[in-house]
Amino acid sequence: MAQESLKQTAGGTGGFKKILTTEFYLLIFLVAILVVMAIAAPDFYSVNTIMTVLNYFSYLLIAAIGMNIIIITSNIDVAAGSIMSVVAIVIAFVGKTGAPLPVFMLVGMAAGLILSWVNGLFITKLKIPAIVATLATTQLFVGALPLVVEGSIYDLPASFTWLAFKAKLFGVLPASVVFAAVITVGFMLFMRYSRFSKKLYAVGNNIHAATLTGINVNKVMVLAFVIAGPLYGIAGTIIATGGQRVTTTMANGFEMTLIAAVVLGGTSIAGGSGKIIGTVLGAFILSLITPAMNYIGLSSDWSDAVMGGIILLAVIVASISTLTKNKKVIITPETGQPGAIAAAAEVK
Amino acid sequence: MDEVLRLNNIVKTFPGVLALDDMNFDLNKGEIHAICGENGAGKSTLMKIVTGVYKPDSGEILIDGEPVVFEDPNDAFAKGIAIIYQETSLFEEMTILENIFLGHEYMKKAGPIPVIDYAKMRSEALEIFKIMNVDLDLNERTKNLGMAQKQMVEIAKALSHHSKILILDEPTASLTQREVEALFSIVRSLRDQGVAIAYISHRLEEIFELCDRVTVVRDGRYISTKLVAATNKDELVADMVGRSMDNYYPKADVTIGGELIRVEHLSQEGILSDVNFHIDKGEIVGFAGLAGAGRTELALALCGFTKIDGGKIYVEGKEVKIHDYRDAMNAGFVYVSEDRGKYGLVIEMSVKQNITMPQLHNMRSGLFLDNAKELKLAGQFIGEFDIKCPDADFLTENLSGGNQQKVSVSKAIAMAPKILFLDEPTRGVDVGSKAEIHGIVSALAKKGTTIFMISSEMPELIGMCDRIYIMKNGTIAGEMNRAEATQEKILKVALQVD
Repeated sequence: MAQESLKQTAGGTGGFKKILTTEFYLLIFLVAILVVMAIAAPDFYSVNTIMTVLNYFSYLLIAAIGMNIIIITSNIDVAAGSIMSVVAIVIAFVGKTGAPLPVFMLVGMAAGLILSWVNGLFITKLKIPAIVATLATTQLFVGALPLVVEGSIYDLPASFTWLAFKAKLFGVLPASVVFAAVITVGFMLFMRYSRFSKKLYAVGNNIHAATLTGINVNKVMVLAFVIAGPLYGIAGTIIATGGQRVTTTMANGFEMTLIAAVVLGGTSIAGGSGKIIGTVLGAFILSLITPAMNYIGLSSDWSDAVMGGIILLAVIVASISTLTKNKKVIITPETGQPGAIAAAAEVK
Repeated sequence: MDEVLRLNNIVKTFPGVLALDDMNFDLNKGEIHAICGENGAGKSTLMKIVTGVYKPDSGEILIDGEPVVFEDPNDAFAKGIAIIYQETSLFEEMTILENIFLGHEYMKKAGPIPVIDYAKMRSEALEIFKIMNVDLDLNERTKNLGMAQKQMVEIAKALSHHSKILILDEPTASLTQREVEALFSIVRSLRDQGVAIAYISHRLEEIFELCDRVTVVRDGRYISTKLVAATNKDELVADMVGRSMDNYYPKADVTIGGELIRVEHLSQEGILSDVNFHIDKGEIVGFAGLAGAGRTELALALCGFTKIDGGKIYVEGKEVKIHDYRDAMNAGFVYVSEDRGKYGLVIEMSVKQNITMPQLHNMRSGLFLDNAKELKLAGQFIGEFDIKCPDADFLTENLSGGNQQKVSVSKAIAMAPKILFLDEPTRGVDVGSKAEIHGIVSALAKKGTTIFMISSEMPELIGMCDRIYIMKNGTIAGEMNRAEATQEKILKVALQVD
């Protein structure tokens, strides 16, 4: 009798309900967009357009995975865009000398790592809230670049743009997509099978309890930024190598798209939850918006507003499902102590 | 008996505070050893020493007779010590399985790379659940579990560490009776399997039901260790407070006036049904019942926090319509929540700010807040209720639980309610403050304020109230006068035992 209450009563969670996850709804939404495009603008499905979409998707996704890991720890990184701008300039300097992709990409990853690490240290060592720390470093990075470079670095050699124009799998598929695929699969496995990933979630869920469990919370947070940094580096490299000219503001503001992709993918901004697969879907949906609107004949001026609308819709849907689930909990539950009543009576 | 843990002469200071002074404690294999003491007596600090969260300034910790030094909680885990905190420390978005093994996941090799061995974790978790006689889906996220289930996961987590020492810190604070029984049966079976259990509790009743020995601590000092079978409640309370139980419930005799509130056929779908009661002016009326009986829900509904579906509320003979708390306040209702930290106070704000908050409109001079007026109002209550704070600008988060509760009650009384709804007014409050709060309530009634008091402590209800209503399944199941009420009678009605 007493044990009965310890068994799960939520009988309806099995089978069908388990499929109805955020990822499932996103997938439906994504398919819906693709179907609409097939009907409304079949031209959309040209090799060229698809490859352009995929290239954008690849660097958005790579950086968004980094952002996702930071957000899981209940932090945020609004410096991501400016870090990528710095990375772009740094690798342009290296690339100008004719250095090959592996060299300047590694330099870019190192630059991303160091800058992101600095953010992590500000947050953990000086206890500055993530949004403030990264907002400050954003200004610093954005402000420093024009002092070092006047406007842009141009006339970059073919070795620099090789990734964007020549590196194609089977002659069509951009290498950036291959990067994204490898990184995504790698991180999916990492988030499932590594011990460290559990600590990321634990810290984001309940920082106090994580400390009491013996987790070095500061180390986990710094490492989240350290992991994100090289991903920003790779994304910055893909962005920079898209042309022969690299400007100082190339990726400024891109962090908002990253955060949008992560949030759309079902990761709570409060931290502690979220899956890589959600971010993949979120990033893919956002990648489609601008080109899709072009093909339908809407001005691309609308695309930001549409993206905003989609994110708002996703957040509202998530919030409604939480509200209905917790309907009873909003009322302060009576947590009386009848155990004490029973025991008192027995003693007496 | 085998001694597994011994603390000798532990001293721990925090800046300006001597938290533990020459503290001793010992724990044997296969016993449940209670630690009791008032709030701030040093129980939690003591346990944080045992679990490696704090390091003692001096004194020694012996495990199986060997001195040990804990640098952090991991060292204590490694020595087989696990603690279950008052508020569960689970990770809500993570699954039961992930929670149980967090930080000590089983790993296997996939080629050169170590990966989590889910299969092994799963089979061990099922094994542990079998020992505990618990049946939960390991893939369920812990946010979807009830309090009791969460505690079972915590215990499973402790067992997964192969803990030989288990510390339970006020584990029953938010459990229902059935859940408490289930918890007790698990704790007993763990004891019988040789686990040494330290059990921290405010509730003496539980100590007598569950524990083998009891150690009393007071003001950071060790007071006594006794066999539970060889002591009694009065003796323990005397040890805890160093004073007798006289004036524990100082209810003054009060002339009761005419009817103040009458509620007829109040209902709220699925929660309250056909509730009828009345309270007279200056009367203290208690509401007893088991968890889920609808007591807090009734108070919340009357105060307009939740919507009622039907029924009538009369105040001084006139019907009132209550749609929100503003309406309720206009009718003279004021509610004091059972959870002062969450709903009762803004703990980051000062004593003064908390007390004046509901009536800032009365605290103005012209356009601006008049600090002098605020100080006057706050000062009045600090003096009258003996709130222990250096001044009115002291932050409430730095007050003890008892003094916080006094601030919470002051805030309510400052609004000059006709009827004050007190929800568990002495929960988590030390014995001394408890008596003071009872004194305050009693004095209020004498001045003509009507008191609607919810309490799960039956001696408190019987001691304080003129009448007691007993709720069951969202309705009033019985009514008793102070003279006829006994714990047995109330419980029988609450359980509907004939």
